Amino acid sequence: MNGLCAYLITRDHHLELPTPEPYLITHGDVGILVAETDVDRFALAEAELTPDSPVVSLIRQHDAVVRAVFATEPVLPLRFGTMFTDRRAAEQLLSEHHDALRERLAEVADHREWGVRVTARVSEPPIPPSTQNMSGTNYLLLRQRQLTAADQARREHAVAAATVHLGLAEHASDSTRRDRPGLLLDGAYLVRKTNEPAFHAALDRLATELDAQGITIERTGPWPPYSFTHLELAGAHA
Amino acid sequence: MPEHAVSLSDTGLVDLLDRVVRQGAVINGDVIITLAGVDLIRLNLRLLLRGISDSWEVPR
Repeated sequence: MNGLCAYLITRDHHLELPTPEPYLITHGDVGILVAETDVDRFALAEAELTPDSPVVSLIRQHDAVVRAVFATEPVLPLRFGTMFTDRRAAEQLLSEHHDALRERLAEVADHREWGVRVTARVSEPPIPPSTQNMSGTNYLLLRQRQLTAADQARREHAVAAATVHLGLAEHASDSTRRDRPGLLLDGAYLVRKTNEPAFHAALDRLATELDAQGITIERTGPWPPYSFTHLELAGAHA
Repeated sequence: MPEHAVSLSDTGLVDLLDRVVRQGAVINGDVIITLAGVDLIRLNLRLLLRGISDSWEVPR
C-alpha cells in the first residue's frame, strides 16, 4: 500500500534537494514536504530500537531530511511516521491550517533548539561503620544522619536543576523540560541565533559553578525545533 | 516486552529518537494512515527512556 510520508512543514519556496523526492506540496505560503512511500516499510511488527536496526535508519533518514531543509528555511518538523493517504489530503490540511502554520513558522524562524542534560555524578558511598556492636540509640542516630544527607542531596539537586533551567530560559524564546528518569534536568531551549552567544555563555558559567557540587551539564544541538512545534492538527476529508 | 528496547546505551541516539519519534507536530484525522508499527516504536522508546536511568545510576 502506498502513501505519502510527510517530513515537515515549511514556507513555499524553491528547495534545493538533490533528488526528485521528497517534494513540496504547497498551498498559499506554506508547503509540506512528502515522499511517495510503501507504507508497509513503516508497519514494523518487530520495531527494534538498536543502533543498526531498519527502523532506526528510517528515523535517521527522517532527521536528515528535516535538517537539510532546516539549514536554510524555518521548519516545523512532523512526528516520525506521519503518512498522508494522498496528495489531496495534504493540500486540504494546509488549506485548513494555513494561517496558524504561517504564524508558527514565523515564530521559529532564525531559531535553533538546544538540549541540556543535567546529571549528578555518583560519589563513592562512605564505608558504613560496622553496626554489629552498636547500641540501638547509636544505630538510629546513624540511620537518621544517612537519611538527612540523602534528603539534603535531593534538595540541592532540585535547586540546581531549577537554577539551570531558569538561567537558560532567560536567553531562550521558549523552553520546556521533560521528565526523564535518572536526570536532574532534561531541558530543551528554543534560542534565537543572535542570542546563542549569551545562551552558551550562561551555560558555561552554570557548568563551572555546578561542577564543584558534583553536577555535570551536557549540551546537545543545534536541533531543528522538534520540541517546539506545539501543533496538533486535525484533518478530515470533506 | 522486548528486552532490546532498553539495550541502547548511546545517549546521543536516544536524544535523536526522543525528538524525532516523540516530539514534532502531530496530525490527526482520516487524512492520515495510522500505523501500528510506529505506535510500537513509541512504546519501545518510552520503555527505553525508562531503562536508561539504570545505566546512569550505576557508579562510574
